[in-house]
Amino acid sequence: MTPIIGIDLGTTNSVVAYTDVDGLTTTIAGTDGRRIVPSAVHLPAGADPVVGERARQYALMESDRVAQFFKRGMGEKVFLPDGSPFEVDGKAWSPEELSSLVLRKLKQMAEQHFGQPVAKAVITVPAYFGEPERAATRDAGELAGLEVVRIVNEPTAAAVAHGVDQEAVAGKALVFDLGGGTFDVTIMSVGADHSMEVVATGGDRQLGGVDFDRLILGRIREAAATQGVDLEADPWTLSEAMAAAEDLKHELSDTQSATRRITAGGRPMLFTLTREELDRLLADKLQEVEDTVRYTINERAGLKPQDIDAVLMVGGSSRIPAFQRLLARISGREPKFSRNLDEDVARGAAILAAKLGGELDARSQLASLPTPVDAASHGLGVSIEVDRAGNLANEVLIPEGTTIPASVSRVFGAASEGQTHVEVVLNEGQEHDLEFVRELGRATGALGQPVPMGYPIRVAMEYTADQLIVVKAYDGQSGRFICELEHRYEGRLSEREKHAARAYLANLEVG
Amino acid sequence: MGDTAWLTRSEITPPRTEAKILEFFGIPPGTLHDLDEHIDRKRRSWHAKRNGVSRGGRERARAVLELIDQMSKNLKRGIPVDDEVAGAAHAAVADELAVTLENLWSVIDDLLANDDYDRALQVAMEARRRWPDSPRPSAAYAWVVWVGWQADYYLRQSALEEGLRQAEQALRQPMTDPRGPEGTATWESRLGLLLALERPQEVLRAAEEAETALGSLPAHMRAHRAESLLMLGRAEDGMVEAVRAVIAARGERALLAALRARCAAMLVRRVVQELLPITSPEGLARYVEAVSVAAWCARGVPDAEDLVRVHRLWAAQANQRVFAGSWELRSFFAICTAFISLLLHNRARSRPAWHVYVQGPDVGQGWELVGRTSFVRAAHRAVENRLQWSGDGQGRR
Repeated sequence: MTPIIGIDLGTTNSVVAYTDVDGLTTTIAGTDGRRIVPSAVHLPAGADPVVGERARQYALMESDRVAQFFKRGMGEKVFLPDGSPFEVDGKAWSPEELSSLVLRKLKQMAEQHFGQPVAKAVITVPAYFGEPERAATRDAGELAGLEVVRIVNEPTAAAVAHGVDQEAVAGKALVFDLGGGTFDVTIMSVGADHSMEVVATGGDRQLGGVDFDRLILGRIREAAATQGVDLEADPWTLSEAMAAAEDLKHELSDTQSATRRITAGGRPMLFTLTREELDRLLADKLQEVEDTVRYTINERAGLKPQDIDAVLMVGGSSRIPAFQRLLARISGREPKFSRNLDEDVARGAAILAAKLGGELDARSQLASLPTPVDAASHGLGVSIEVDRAGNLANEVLIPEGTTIPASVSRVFGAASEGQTHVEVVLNEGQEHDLEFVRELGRATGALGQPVPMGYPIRVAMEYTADQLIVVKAYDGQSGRFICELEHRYEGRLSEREKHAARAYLANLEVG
Repeated sequence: MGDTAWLTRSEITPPRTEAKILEFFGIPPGTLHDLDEHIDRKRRSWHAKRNGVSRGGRERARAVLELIDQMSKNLKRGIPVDDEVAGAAHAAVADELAVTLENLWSVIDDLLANDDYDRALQVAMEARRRWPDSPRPSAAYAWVVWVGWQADYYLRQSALEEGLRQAEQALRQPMTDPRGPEGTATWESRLGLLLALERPQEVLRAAEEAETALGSLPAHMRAHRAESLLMLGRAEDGMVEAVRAVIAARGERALLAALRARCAAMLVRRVVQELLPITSPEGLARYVEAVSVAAWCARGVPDAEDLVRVHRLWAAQANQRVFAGSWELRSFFAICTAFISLLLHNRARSRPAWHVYVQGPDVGQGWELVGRTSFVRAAHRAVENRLQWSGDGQGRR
């Protein structure tokens, strides 16, 4: 039997797990005993890439050769904040290629663990990821030599792991997933049989533990400056300060005050940070998180905070007490923690992988667990004219959260007198304003004859289980077919680019 | 606009008065009692857009969130009070910066250069308390409020009024060098704050007094006078004064660029857009003239040129004739008469572009040529609601 692994491909850390036929889930460790692999890739000159902790340690020494946080650019050509490509020795590395190296590392760990090849995986992504980002994640898996059986939302996976470990409460659950680089909030409807349905999602693609570390680092930098020391002047000092910032953040989850020693300007400097100071540093981030949580509950899910029956905290950064207090204040309930904050997403993915593999022992607890249903991650709509000046807006036909497969049909009117053609523009996004949606494609068809303004035109949209969107326009009176638009969510890379990337990566060994 | 249309509003056209900012946050239709809730709702809604699927939309949302943050802080800031606690805080800031009556202007200039308006105001207030008989602290206070208002910092009506009172008080007292930088800055504060309080008639009177007191009116005060004239509906006089302001700034490169940008923006907002939509040949002539003055003012300043460009294009093309008849009939007659009638038919059924635009989509394909042109739409964006044919709210494709 070929094992199907579950992978949490995180912004800062990644984890791989496996669930056996008896329903027992194991987080797989590497040869160094570590179960958490930093999502960092070092591309040394004249040597093979290195993934993980060793690569992360090089981040400051050889910053131009170490890629981190590339998940924030998934689905796009570049991921660096300034919009420039990440180039090493003349090769521009895409987020998909870099992610594929992390996935290869995880695949290698699993193969060493099982002593046999691994070819299939379930990979998790943030709930707010659009379809292009999901397709890019599939591409990364493919480049790593993995068949991606399914892409699963991180909060869903975490909720599955938590529900299996501890009895889930039937009702509305809020999953708060604050990781190293991204933040997700998901409202789920949990059935008495542990079935799960995503009601609404929200998130922030630029918010996570690494941002909090930077705030603490800024505070250390100020303290050093008062002693006449410029942290930026010495990469070793900066590296030490960054590590100290992360350590302080971790320690302040348990204590009220923490101190670290930093060698600055050739002499030791003690830096103390209290929890109160940390809360003040995080004030803006807390406000952003509160905004996202409240908006997701009120506007997206159409609920009130008191309708939430349980709050589940996931992701390493949710250990920060300020976020726990925030969630308690919003929901009026004490948040629960998943048993292992850093690993539960991968464990949930592994459980779903085992379910999808269909080889679970019928007596296992997991055999009766319903598989979560797929839902549209974003709304799908078409452009329509909203006034006689020709201003356009997105009319959502399939709202976000709709269970897939889905189909819908709506009748519109011809925009102008004597109109002879219809142009169908397919958009992704829930917003009405076209500035906030992404155009996926367009098609034009002839009406056959000039029609009066307001003449009925029927638009039918179908979103199939295999991620195909079909939009068809018909004459609203005669029923005659006018035009059709098909869009399949595919990654940004063409087959040729994927072939070239595969050939290039095949020559590299990941260390 | 519906009850929640304010949620999607993403801009506040300058000048950003308190009333406009409250409107940005949905007051009215809400009341001041709803302010906090409306600020939260608006921020949350744009926060969600910041994580949308479109990169351009995300960047736009980021900019709007900054605006929401800045404007909500301004609304909540209000006028500082001289109570015991605040007074102690002001004294502490003044002590920390070692403020004396002699170095007051330089301390305040440094703080303003670093956008530290809060501390600049605290220093000025403390100076007023310490040296009540000197005009300098009042002048400095007025200057801080005026500079802050220009930077969208101080917006409460009461803060502007207090700044104006202080400027007038300083000008009533004898200054060491009334025509020097301190005197000029105080007149500038007085005129500017009168304009901020939308009292154009008083600006004109104060400008005359300033001209007498200073010997001649500096360029930026001429711009205040130009704007006041425009606010009073005296478009011709305002345009002439705007041109004089730009001419007076020649020789000072930074000031010239700033004045060109300001005058161009003021003319577009208060004259050019007011002349749209063009509904008569006379209206067209006035529009063309106003656009040419605005374009002259904008010359050499990229942002200002961008602002005027759509109007320049429309002014150049608004009188071009566009076929506004039936294209099918034209083809039919042309074929029947071996194309002899084509010229006559074209001439008889053509209209100036402005005429076609103002008539609206019922004109047919001729309107499509004009009304859907990007620069024509951009030029009319601010005045679309004045067109009879716009905004019927019917969704069509």
